[in-house]
Amino acid sequence: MSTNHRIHPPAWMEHLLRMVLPAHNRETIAGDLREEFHDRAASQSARRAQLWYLRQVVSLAPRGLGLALGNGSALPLLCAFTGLCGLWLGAMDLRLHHPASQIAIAASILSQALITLAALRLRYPWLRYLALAGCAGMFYLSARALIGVLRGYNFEGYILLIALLLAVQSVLTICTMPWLQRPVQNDTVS
Amino acid sequence: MADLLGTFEQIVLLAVLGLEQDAYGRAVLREVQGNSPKARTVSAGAVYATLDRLEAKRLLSSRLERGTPERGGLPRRFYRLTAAGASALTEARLTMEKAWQGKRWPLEVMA
Repeated sequence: MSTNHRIHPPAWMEHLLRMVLPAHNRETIAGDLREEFHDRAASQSARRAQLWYLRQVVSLAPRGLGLALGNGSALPLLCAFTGLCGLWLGAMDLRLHHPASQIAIAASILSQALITLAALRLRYPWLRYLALAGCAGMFYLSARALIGVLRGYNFEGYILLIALLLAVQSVLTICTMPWLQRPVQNDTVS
Repeated sequence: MADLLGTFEQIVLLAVLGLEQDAYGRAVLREVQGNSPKARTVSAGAVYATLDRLEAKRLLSSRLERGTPERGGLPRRFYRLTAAGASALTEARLTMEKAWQGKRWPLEVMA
């Protein structure tokens, strides 16, 4: 066997690559890039091959980070929390006999949280679009609430907190949801 | 009617089709770079994201195979066009052919 087979990218670059790759493709993409690096290093120079490799890592990073955020605990946790906020708001509105419009807002906060959680779990395209639309609506609502708080005519601590959480959850969902398209599957190496 | 395929999706599907049994990630990347007018700017990220998306849409299927020594034994993911992928490609082609019918070529644009 030729010693050429040992031309690999620097370990730190490979480590960086693995950090940004989604788990289901971590080994295959790392292998593909290692193979290409091997050829480029042999035909051009190790330095050019390293530059090429680093460029590929950068190109893979945004999607990998998006998937990590979506698949990790941050987004589901935020959704669960905003859902609880909606539930609590609804209960308070009912108890204090607030107008129906406020109860509807609480119900929509709860619904969008549940839909987003379901979209994260089930990955049906229609559910994803529904979650994205819901989050766009929630972003509008939270922006209005935040503007109200900033202008001082509706300052209540819990509104500020819920509006901030909703805004963060909406932005995070809108940024990461488009990447979450791959269905869960079991791979076996043949 | 399903969504019409984008140009880049069509390029990736055609690359997989052309490579037949050898359509694994790196080969597809090379093929796409070779077929793209902006070959140097096609990044691995764009190709792998498209492969994933097409697989999620069930237009491609994939299987894993053991890797070679050049890749340190890391597995290869081989892709194959599904029946749905073939019909999506056909639909995209027919749609474009219909849209181009009766148009002058080369295009003349009024200044």
